[in-house]
Amino acid sequence: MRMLKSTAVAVSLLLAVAAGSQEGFPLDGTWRGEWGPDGGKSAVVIVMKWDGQNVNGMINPGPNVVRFSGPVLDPSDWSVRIEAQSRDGQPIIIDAKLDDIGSYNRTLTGTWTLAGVEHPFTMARE
Amino acid sequence: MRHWRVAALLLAAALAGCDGGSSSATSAAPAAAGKPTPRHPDGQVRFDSEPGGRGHWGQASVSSLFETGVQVVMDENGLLANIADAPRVAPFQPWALALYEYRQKNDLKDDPTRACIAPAGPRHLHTTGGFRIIRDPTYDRMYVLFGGGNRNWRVVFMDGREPPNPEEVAGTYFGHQAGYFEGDTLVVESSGYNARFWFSNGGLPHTEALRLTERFSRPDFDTLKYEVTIDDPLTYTRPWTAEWTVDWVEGGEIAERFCEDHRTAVEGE
Repeated sequence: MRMLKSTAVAVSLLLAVAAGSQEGFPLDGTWRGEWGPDGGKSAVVIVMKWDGQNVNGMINPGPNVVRFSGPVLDPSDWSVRIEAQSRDGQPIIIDAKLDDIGSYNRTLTGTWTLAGVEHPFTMARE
Repeated sequence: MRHWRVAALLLAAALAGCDGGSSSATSAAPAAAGKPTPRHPDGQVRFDSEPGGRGHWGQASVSSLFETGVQVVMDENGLLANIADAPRVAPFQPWALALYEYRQKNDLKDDPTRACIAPAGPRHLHTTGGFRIIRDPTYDRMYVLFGGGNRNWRVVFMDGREPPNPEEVAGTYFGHQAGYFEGDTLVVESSGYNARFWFSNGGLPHTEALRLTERFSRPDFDTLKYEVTIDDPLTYTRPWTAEWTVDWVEGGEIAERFCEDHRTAVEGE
């Protein structure tokens, strides 16, 4: 029982710290989410890093990684646009809105368009 | 009432800066008017109390960080009286200005210190409780001890060691700090920071590319002059400088103040 209480306190503290933490550039870090139609969603991981002029990113790091680079973030309305090309040459366009900027686990919500077909898309920063 | 008294002081400080004088509202009197700068037996400036004495550095002459010469009005928490002044606080990149404005418009509610994250960078000189700068000749270091923000401390290496390659180390709250003397001025260069803290109470953003050059001098016994140059090319369009003075509090000790005893905002989140 005592151990359970200690664990709960520790988890609460971690959550409290996470809730209050922020990183510098709002997109920097690892993001995890999913895209696709209901019942057929695909998991996706995106890693992004700001270099002062562009965001350099990877979609699904690993042997099938898709890389992209560009301004990506429009801070006037916190909109995000990622343009990339899938491994088989299909255009990928992600249009999303950055929300909950004050949270470490901020979110991106919008659409993922592959080869001209639009799907819902959502992810949160880890 | 207190807010606007501080704001008035800040405005006065900014106006003083425009005249080519100090940006401090409580600029030190000419050195000749006060007690002379204390020194160690080897002649180096002493930034702490003299042997047998007691005291510490107290409240800064300005309550937040903004570029030298800029005229803006802020309260004691670094909150702008007029959000339209935000672009003049520092030479922001567009994303950094947008984030600074976001934080300001949210009344700084996401301030990491509310979750007891360290007030690192220049901000620690703005915490309540006072601070001391102590030379340690045995280990060739300077220590900055301060009362607020969980009684944190900084270690400044004076032995000439090189900073680690930032690509090979994880950033920390206080980074790697190397110091040396230029005449009577203690210069501290630091890098290797993480981006999990706000280096000013007003919410100025930074990235892990942040590099600080701080210059401490003691023109007379009662005055610490502080200048910091912020160089973060991922956040700001050019390096920029802020400065203020701090008064010596004779006879006191650093107050003990732990964040956990005072935090308010995290509750309920």
